[in-house]
Amino acid sequence: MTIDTAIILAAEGVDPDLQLLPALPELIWGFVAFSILFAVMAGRVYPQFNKALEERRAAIQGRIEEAESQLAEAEKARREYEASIAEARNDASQIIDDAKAQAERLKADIVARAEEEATAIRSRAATEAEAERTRALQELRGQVATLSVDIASKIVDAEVDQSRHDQLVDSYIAQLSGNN
Amino acid sequence: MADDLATSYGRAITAIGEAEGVTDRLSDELFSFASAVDANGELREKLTDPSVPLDARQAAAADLLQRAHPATQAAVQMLLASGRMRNIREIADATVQQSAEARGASVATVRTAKPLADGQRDALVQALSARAGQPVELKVVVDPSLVGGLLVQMGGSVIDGSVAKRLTDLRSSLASV
Repeated sequence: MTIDTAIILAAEGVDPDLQLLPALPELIWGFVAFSILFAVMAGRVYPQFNKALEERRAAIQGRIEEAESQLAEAEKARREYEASIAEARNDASQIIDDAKAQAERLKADIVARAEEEATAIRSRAATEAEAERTRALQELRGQVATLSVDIASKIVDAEVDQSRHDQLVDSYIAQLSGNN
Repeated sequence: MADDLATSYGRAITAIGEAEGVTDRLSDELFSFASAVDANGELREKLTDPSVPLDARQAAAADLLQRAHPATQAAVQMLLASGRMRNIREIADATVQQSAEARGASVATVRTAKPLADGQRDALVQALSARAGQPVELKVVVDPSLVGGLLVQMGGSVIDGSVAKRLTDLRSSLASV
């Protein structure tokens, strides 16, 4: 025991004669045993242990890489899915736009055709009405003419006696002679 | 009936008249008979109705033609037998025309509302002869439907101076106003 140690032990109330360190042979044997154990451990156990650790590390690294690969694939699949969804949305939007445009064209065509037919019907009706009016007017004129002439015929028939007839015949002969 | 068919019948009847030496009388009587048939619808129906036996139609015609020359009676019976009574007007006109042409004359058919006086008939003959450049013979038919005046048909031309024509013209002009 050193003096410092003895002082410290004395100050702490420990017995200065107390023997803490083993004896030298014991230390030597201990050292030898420890060296042997260390050699065994370093030569046999430690490599095995290190190999197992390395294998486990490699396995974990492989699983990590596999997981990362799967994650990348999943990410790729997600992107493709999102892209396909976006494309589908675009397609659907395009289809809807086309359908709307086609519906608008159809509507415009139907309206134009309806207007054209309506115009034709109005024109035809006007023409028929005008023709009917003309026909009725013509028929009325004919009836008026017939009626007037019938009345005139009755009057003339009563007026044309033998004397008047002779005048007409003489006038006819005179006109015939004058033309020769 | 085509004109050439009427002409053929007219030529045949004229030949009968010439054979009998009664061309003028035959044409006059046939013309008068045709005018009577034209004017009488009932008579026309009776003589042209195919459902009436031919014997009955011939007897009716013979009854009407009792005073006519036998050649005229034979001509009418021939038309009845051949089913040409509907065309007696055209045939009589053709007969009269051919008889007149045989004498170097033309025929003018005069339809008058009332009978013509002799002076009017002579004046008309003169006027028409001057117009035609050859003698004209008149065939006069009294047609009261003319109301007044007369209508002359000569060849293919018609000169209508009747009151009925004036009334018809009046009706047309009124209707076209």
